[in-house]
Amino acid sequence: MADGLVNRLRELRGERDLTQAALAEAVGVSRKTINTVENGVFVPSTILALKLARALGCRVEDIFSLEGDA
Amino acid sequence: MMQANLVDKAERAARSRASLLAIGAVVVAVTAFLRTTDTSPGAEGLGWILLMAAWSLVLATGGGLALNRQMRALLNDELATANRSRALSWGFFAGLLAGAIVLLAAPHMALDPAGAVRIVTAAGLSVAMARYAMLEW
Repeated sequence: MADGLVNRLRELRGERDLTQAALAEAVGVSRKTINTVENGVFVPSTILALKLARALGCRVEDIFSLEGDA
Repeated sequence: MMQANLVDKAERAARSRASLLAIGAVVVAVTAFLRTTDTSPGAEGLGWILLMAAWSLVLATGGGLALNRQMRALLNDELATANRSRALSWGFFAGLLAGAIVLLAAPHMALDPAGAVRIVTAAGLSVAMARYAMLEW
Protein backbone atom coordinates (compact mmCIF):
# COMPACT_ATOMS: atom_id res chain seq x y z
CA MET A 1 0.00 0.00 0.00
CA ALA A 2 1.33 3.46 -0.86
CA ASP A 3 2.27 5.47 2.21
CA GLY A 4 -0.77 7.05 3.79
CA LEU A 5 -3.23 6.01 1.09
CA VAL A 6 -6.26 3.93 1.98
CA ASN A 7 -8.37 2.43 -0.78
CA ARG A 8 -11.73 0.70 -0.61
CA LEU A 9 -11.87 -0.43 -4.23
CA ARG A 10 -12.20 -4.15 -3.47
CA GLU A 11 -14.95 -3.50 -0.94
CA LEU A 12 -16.93 -1.16 -3.21
CA ARG A 13 -16.54 -3.50 -6.20
CA GLY A 14 -17.76 -6.41 -4.06
CA GLU A 15 -20.81 -4.44 -2.92
CA ARG A 16 -21.77 -4.02 -6.57
CA ASP A 17 -21.13 -7.68 -7.44
CA LEU A 18 -18.58 -6.72 -10.05
CA THR A 19 -15.66 -8.95 -10.96
CA GLN A 20 -12.22 -7.45 -11.49
CA ALA A 21 -12.57 -8.26 -15.19
CA ALA A 22 -15.94 -6.49 -15.43
CA LEU A 23 -14.62 -3.38 -13.70
CA ALA A 24 -11.48 -3.47 -15.85
CA GLU A 25 -13.65 -3.64 -18.96
CA ALA A 26 -15.81 -0.75 -17.76
CA VAL A 27 -12.85 1.57 -17.26
CA GLY A 28 -10.69 0.31 -20.15
CA VAL A 29 -7.72 -1.16 -18.32
CA SER A 30 -6.36 -4.65 -17.77
CA ARG A 31 -7.60 -6.90 -14.96
CA LYS A 32 -4.09 -6.82 -13.54
CA THR A 33 -4.31 -3.06 -13.16
CA ILE A 34 -7.49 -3.39 -11.06
CA ASN A 35 -5.83 -6.13 -9.01
CA THR A 36 -2.71 -4.08 -8.31
CA VAL A 37 -4.78 -1.01 -7.38
CA GLU A 38 -6.86 -3.11 -4.97
CA ASN A 39 -3.72 -4.53 -3.39
CA GLY A 40 -2.17 -1.08 -3.05
CA VAL A 41 0.75 -2.03 -5.30
CA PHE A 42 -0.16 0.56 -7.91
CA VAL A 43 -1.54 4.05 -7.31
CA PRO A 44 -3.68 5.02 -10.30
CA SER A 45 -3.65 8.36 -12.07
CA THR A 46 -6.35 10.94 -11.37
CA ILE A 47 -7.97 10.05 -14.69
CA LEU A 48 -8.24 6.37 -13.81
CA ALA A 49 -9.43 7.22 -10.30
CA LEU A 50 -12.22 9.33 -11.80
CA LYS A 51 -13.15 6.54 -14.22
CA LEU A 52 -13.26 4.03 -11.36
CA ALA A 53 -15.50 6.36 -9.36
CA ARG A 54 -17.80 6.80 -12.33
CA ALA A 55 -17.99 3.06 -12.97
CA LEU A 56 -18.79 2.39 -9.31
CA GLY A 57 -21.23 5.29 -9.05
CA CYS A 58 -19.42 6.98 -6.19
CA ARG A 59 -16.95 9.78 -5.51
CA VAL A 60 -13.19 9.37 -5.80
CA GLU A 61 -12.93 10.16 -2.07
CA ASP A 62 -15.17 7.16 -1.37
CA ILE A 63 -12.57 4.91 -2.99
CA PHE A 64 -9.35 6.62 -1.98
CA SER A 65 -8.58 8.55 1.15
CA LEU A 66 -5.63 9.58 3.21
CA GLU A 67 -4.80 7.59 6.30
CA GLY A 68 -6.29 9.25 9.33
CA ASP A 69 -9.04 11.02 7.40
CA ALA A 70 -12.59 10.17 8.33
CA MET B 1 -18.67 -1.09 -23.82
CA MET B 2 -15.93 -3.46 -24.86
CA GLN B 3 -16.44 -7.03 -25.97
CA ALA B 4 -16.76 -9.29 -22.94
CA ASN B 5 -13.63 -11.33 -23.53
CA LEU B 6 -11.37 -8.52 -24.66
CA VAL B 7 -9.93 -8.13 -21.15
CA ASP B 8 -9.13 -11.86 -21.07
CA LYS B 9 -7.54 -11.71 -24.52
CA ALA B 10 -5.45 -8.71 -23.47
CA GLU B 11 -4.33 -10.58 -20.36
CA ARG B 12 -3.18 -13.54 -22.44
CA ALA B 13 -1.44 -11.21 -24.89
CA ALA B 14 0.32 -9.45 -22.00
CA ARG B 15 1.55 -12.82 -20.71
CA SER B 16 2.78 -13.74 -24.18
CA ARG B 17 4.59 -10.41 -24.42
CA ALA B 18 6.21 -10.97 -21.03
CA SER B 19 7.37 -14.43 -22.12
CA LEU B 20 8.70 -13.04 -25.40
CA LEU B 21 10.63 -10.31 -23.62
CA ALA B 22 12.09 -12.78 -21.12
CA ILE B 23 13.30 -14.98 -23.97
CA GLY B 24 14.57 -11.90 -25.82
CA ALA B 25 16.54 -10.80 -22.76
CA VAL B 26 18.31 -14.16 -22.68
CA VAL B 27 18.96 -14.06 -26.44
CA VAL B 28 20.48 -10.55 -26.22
CA ALA B 29 22.65 -11.44 -23.21
CA VAL B 30 23.87 -14.74 -24.69
CA THR B 31 24.54 -13.20 -28.10
CA ALA B 32 26.58 -10.40 -26.51
CA PHE B 33 28.54 -12.91 -24.42
CA LEU B 34 29.30 -15.15 -27.41
CA ARG B 35 30.42 -12.20 -29.55
CA THR B 36 32.42 -10.29 -26.94
CA THR B 37 35.68 -11.08 -28.69
CA ASP B 38 34.24 -10.56 -32.17
CA THR B 39 36.08 -7.59 -33.69
CA SER B 40 34.52 -7.61 -37.14
CA PRO B 41 32.97 -4.16 -37.68
CA GLY B 42 31.03 -4.98 -40.86
CA ALA B 43 28.03 -7.26 -41.19
CA GLU B 44 28.30 -8.58 -37.62
CA GLY B 45 28.26 -5.09 -36.19
CA LEU B 46 25.24 -4.18 -38.28
CA GLY B 47 23.51 -7.37 -37.16
CA TRP B 48 24.02 -6.37 -33.54
CA ILE B 49 22.63 -2.89 -34.17
CA LEU B 50 19.56 -4.38 -35.87
CA LEU B 51 19.04 -6.81 -32.99
CA MET B 52 19.23 -3.95 -30.48
CA ALA B 53 16.92 -1.78 -32.59
CA ALA B 54 14.31 -4.53 -32.97
CA TRP B 55 14.13 -5.34 -29.24
CA SER B 56 14.26 -1.66 -28.31
CA LEU B 57 11.25 -1.08 -30.54
CA VAL B 58 9.31 -3.88 -28.84
CA LEU B 59 10.28 -2.50 -25.43
CA ALA B 60 9.48 1.12 -26.28
CA THR B 61 6.13 0.51 -27.96
CA GLY B 62 4.93 -2.47 -25.97
CA GLY B 63 4.67 -4.44 -29.20
CA GLY B 64 1.38 -5.70 -30.59
CA LEU B 65 1.50 -3.23 -33.46
CA ALA B 66 -0.64 -5.59 -35.56
CA LEU B 67 -3.38 -5.72 -32.91
CA ASN B 68 -6.46 -3.51 -33.00
CA ARG B 69 -6.58 -0.19 -31.14
CA GLN B 70 -8.68 -1.38 -28.19
CA MET B 71 -6.42 -4.34 -27.56
CA ARG B 72 -3.31 -2.19 -27.76
CA ALA B 73 -4.85 0.29 -25.33
CA LEU B 74 -5.48 -2.52 -22.83
CA LEU B 75 -2.00 -3.98 -23.38
CA ASN B 76 -0.42 -0.59 -22.80
CA ASP B 77 -2.63 0.76 -20.05
CA GLU B 78 -1.20 2.93 -17.30
CA LEU B 79 0.09 0.02 -15.21
CA ALA B 80 1.96 -1.37 -18.23
CA THR B 81 3.32 2.10 -18.99
CA ALA B 82 4.46 2.56 -15.38
CA ASN B 83 6.06 -0.90 -15.43
CA ARG B 84 7.86 -0.01 -18.65
CA SER B 85 9.23 3.19 -17.09
CA ARG B 86 10.51 1.25 -14.11
CA ALA B 87 12.06 -1.38 -16.38
CA LEU B 88 13.78 1.26 -18.51
CA SER B 89 15.17 2.83 -15.36
CA TRP B 90 16.64 -0.53 -14.33
CA GLY B 91 18.13 -0.92 -17.81
CA PHE B 92 19.70 2.53 -17.66
CA PHE B 93 21.45 1.79 -14.38
CA ALA B 94 22.46 -1.69 -15.55
CA GLY B 95 24.10 -0.08 -18.60
CA LEU B 96 25.96 2.38 -16.35
CA LEU B 97 27.10 -0.43 -14.07
CA ALA B 98 28.25 -2.53 -17.02
CA GLY B 99 30.15 0.47 -18.37
CA ALA B 100 31.91 0.96 -15.04
CA ILE B 101 32.82 -2.73 -14.84
CA VAL B 102 34.17 -2.72 -18.42
CA LEU B 103 36.20 0.41 -17.64
CA LEU B 104 37.73 -1.18 -14.55
CA ALA B 105 38.34 -4.53 -16.26
CA ALA B 106 39.73 -3.10 -19.52
CA PRO B 107 43.40 -2.94 -18.42
CA HIS B 108 43.29 -6.56 -17.29
CA MET B 109 41.68 -8.22 -20.30
CA ALA B 110 41.80 -8.10 -24.06
CA LEU B 111 38.57 -6.32 -24.91
CA ASP B 112 38.15 -4.32 -28.10
CA PRO B 113 35.79 -1.31 -28.30
CA ALA B 114 33.14 -3.24 -30.24
CA GLY B 115 33.07 -5.92 -27.55
CA ALA B 116 32.78 -3.29 -24.83
CA VAL B 117 29.88 -1.62 -26.62
CA ARG B 118 28.14 -5.00 -26.96
CA ILE B 119 28.48 -5.66 -23.22
CA VAL B 120 27.17 -2.24 -22.19
CA THR B 121 24.25 -2.18 -24.63
CA ALA B 122 23.35 -5.80 -23.91
CA ALA B 123 23.36 -5.18 -20.16
CA GLY B 124 21.10 -2.15 -20.49
CA LEU B 125 18.66 -3.74 -22.89
CA SER B 126 18.50 -7.25 -21.45
CA VAL B 127 18.01 -6.03 -17.87
CA ALA B 128 15.24 -3.66 -18.99
CA MET B 129 13.55 -6.46 -20.94
CA ALA B 130 13.87 -8.97 -18.11
CA ARG B 131 12.56 -6.49 -15.54
CA TYR B 132 9.59 -5.57 -17.73
CA ALA B 133 8.82 -9.26 -18.23
CA MET B 134 8.91 -9.81 -14.46
CA LEU B 135 6.66 -6.84 -13.73
CA GLU B 136 4.16 -7.82 -16.41
CA TRP B 137 4.02 -11.52 -15.59
